Amino acid sequence: MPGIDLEKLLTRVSKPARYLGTEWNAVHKDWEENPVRMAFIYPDLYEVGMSHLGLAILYGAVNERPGMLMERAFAPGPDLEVLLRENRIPLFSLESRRPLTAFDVLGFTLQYEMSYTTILNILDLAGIPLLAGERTAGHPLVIGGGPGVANPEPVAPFFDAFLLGDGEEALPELLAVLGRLKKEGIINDRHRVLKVLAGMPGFYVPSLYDVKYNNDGTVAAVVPREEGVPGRVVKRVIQDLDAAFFPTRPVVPFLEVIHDRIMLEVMRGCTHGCRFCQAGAIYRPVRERDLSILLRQAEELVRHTGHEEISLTSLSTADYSRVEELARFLATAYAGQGVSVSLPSLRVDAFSVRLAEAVQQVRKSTLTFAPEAGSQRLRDVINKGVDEEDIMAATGEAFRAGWQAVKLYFMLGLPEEREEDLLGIVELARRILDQGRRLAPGGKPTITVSVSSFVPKPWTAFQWEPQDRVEVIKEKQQLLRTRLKGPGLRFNWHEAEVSFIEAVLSRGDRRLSRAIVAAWRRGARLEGWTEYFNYSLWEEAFRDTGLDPAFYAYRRRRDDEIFPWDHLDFGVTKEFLMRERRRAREGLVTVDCRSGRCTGCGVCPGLGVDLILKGGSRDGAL
Amino acid sequence: MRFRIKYSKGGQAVFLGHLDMLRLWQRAMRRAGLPLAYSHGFNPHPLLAFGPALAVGIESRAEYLDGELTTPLEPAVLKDRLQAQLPAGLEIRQVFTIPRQAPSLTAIINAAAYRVTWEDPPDPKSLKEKAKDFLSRPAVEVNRRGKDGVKARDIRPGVYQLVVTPEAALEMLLECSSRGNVRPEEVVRAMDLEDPLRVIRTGLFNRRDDNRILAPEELADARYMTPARGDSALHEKVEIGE
Repeated sequence: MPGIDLEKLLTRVSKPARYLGTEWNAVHKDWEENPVRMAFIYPDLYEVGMSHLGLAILYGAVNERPGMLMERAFAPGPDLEVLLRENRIPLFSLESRRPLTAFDVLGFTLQYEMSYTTILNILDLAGIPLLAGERTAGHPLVIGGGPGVANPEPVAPFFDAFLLGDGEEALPELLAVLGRLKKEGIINDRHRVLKVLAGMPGFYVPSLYDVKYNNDGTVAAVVPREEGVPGRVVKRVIQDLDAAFFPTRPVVPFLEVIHDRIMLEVMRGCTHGCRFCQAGAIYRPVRERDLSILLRQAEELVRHTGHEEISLTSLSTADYSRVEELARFLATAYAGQGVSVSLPSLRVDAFSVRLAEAVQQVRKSTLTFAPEAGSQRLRDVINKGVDEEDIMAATGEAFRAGWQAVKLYFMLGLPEEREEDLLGIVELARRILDQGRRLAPGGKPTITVSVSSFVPKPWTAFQWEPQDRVEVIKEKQQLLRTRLKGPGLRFNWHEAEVSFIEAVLSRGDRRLSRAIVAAWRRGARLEGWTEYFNYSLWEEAFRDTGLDPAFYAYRRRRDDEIFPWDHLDFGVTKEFLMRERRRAREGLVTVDCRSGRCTGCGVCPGLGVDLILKGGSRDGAL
Repeated sequence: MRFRIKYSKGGQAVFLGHLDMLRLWQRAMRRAGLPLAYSHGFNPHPLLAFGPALAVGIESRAEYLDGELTTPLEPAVLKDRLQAQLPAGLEIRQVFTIPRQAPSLTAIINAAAYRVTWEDPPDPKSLKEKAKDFLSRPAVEVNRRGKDGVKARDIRPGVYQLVVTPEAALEMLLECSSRGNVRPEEVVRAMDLEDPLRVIRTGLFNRRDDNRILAPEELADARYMTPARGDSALHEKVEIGE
């Protein structure tokens, strides 16, 4: 079967290297010999999608198995989209350039809410009905995974199924089952296929559940429509990452992508327990990889990719029990080949900075820290577990080591926030600047304060909280902007309207799917990019559909409210989150369970798993 | 050991830009496990030097890059190991060693040859007329979009040769140096011809004072160690291949 002939179009678009599919390590499996075929779709541009570790993992895990294949697809750039529509060419996979309709399964990763309209655009460009209920025999199964499935309800009508939790085992399992159904000739009985999926651990088939609403618009219940459909869907967890597949032949992009480097995943999960953080909740428990396995993977990755940088990735890499040995060893071992080591996120303490100093030869770049809040009181509210001494020690160490620029991440609009907390951001930035003038070589440091707006997320202690109104966020931004002026200080902030739409969608229910469709119809897509985000499209979409966004973003939830995602189980219990919410109000800190004290979040007993730590010395030598 | 690679770029690889190519070669060399020499300093990078950039979408039969190894390797071995690490569309045609003091590619190369073909080839006779007419013009102004807006520029001095082949392809030898660069599409447009189907760079040369043109591999010969500046009086010709 011939692929789509793109050559003529490619000469007319910017960055044609996005669409080639002939990158090093791209897998071109034989179509006929592999009867179960899936396309992994990242609903954003190539440069963003190719920076996603999950894609590399699942691409490798599926393609190493016989009988199945996975190809990649991304959102086309706006220039190619116009040409595709003009020439009536359906959106295609990169490897074989087949139309997406040729695949059995299309898997979208839900990384952020602002990609939802792009998902619709991709389905439309592929010629696939947007609503799962309108798809018939012969249409691919459209499935979703990633952090967005923590509450997939706003996009539930677009998907045939979701996979909750880790995918490297569950996805090949699914494809194997579909292979069997295909062989048995029942793949075209869509309802039967969905019933089979619904019975598989970790898979949620939204069309098999009814949502009932209360008169006040809140959810009353989400219940299975049929027998054999579980009342609760529990997420999948890979207990032993050492035994799990990890790709050592990832695709090496031609273009410079956002994260253009080796991503060595040292662990999964984070137990700091920041109360605003969804990732910290839904990726529990912490599972570390063995040092010897990481060293072997790093060696293979350098040999198979030729990348010039190894990034030690995880939610909080400085926490990895053997991070120092690992980072130092890699930095020494590969220096001769021009390969450097980097740490993506630094914990706010001197240990992290000394570690970065030891391995990162290039000091010209900026060192980034996330104190998140400007006062100790508010940092305790959000359980950040960092005090001013840590912040001053970390930044001081950075200046002494030769860094000239420090970037600080804060959030505004946090629960319990007062004006003094915002002024605390300013004071902190100025103290760090003063310190930098004394310690930094040259005495002319730059402090960048980057402020995002708090978005209450499901599965966090703040899932009951309202978001600040857009006007209030803007006032707070203004307050900071006027005070964070002067030499050595830079201030940037996130667009308040984007955070508002994120807040609407993150805790939304199925009714919001109509607003997403309406926004897309009016032209919304690629909204993760400021140049493409247009708030008025959403205002019109809410007006068109009669939905009130304030109901979702600004409303404080009742303590006993049933959430749209309550039938999904990520391990963390609602009781724990409620307890954390109470402790937040009282300003009480909850310690990291790495220390050995269980905080009772419910994950380990609930999912039958355990923390995996790899011991070794920490903090000592540095 | 210094080495020079001559390679061709075709197929899907024509869509790769110059910066993509720099990354690609570095990574291919690392995968091949070549004992590359690195620069010193805080941020060491391999000592690679490339010839003039090729515009995206254009094929080439003769691209060049120079590199340096810390321990010598047979050029044939180097070629095989490196070719095994290259994506489809890139083919190494030749690898040869060059003397330590050999001038860089950018010092040598001052002319590029292109072959342009059309989907509906123009009548060879009229093509010849147009070529003759072009060469008889004292100046040919084209507009170039730069950082500070559109600027007019005379490309005529940079067009050294135009040849019309019997199958109605247009071959041209154009200036390609740090001092000036004429693009094949500019010539095609100035000749009032349709946009071509294919543009192939067929060679990169050192155009010498005596009007001889030598490829970098010919220059590796010690006799030509000093590159010519190639700015002598113009001797154009319109060749009519029969």
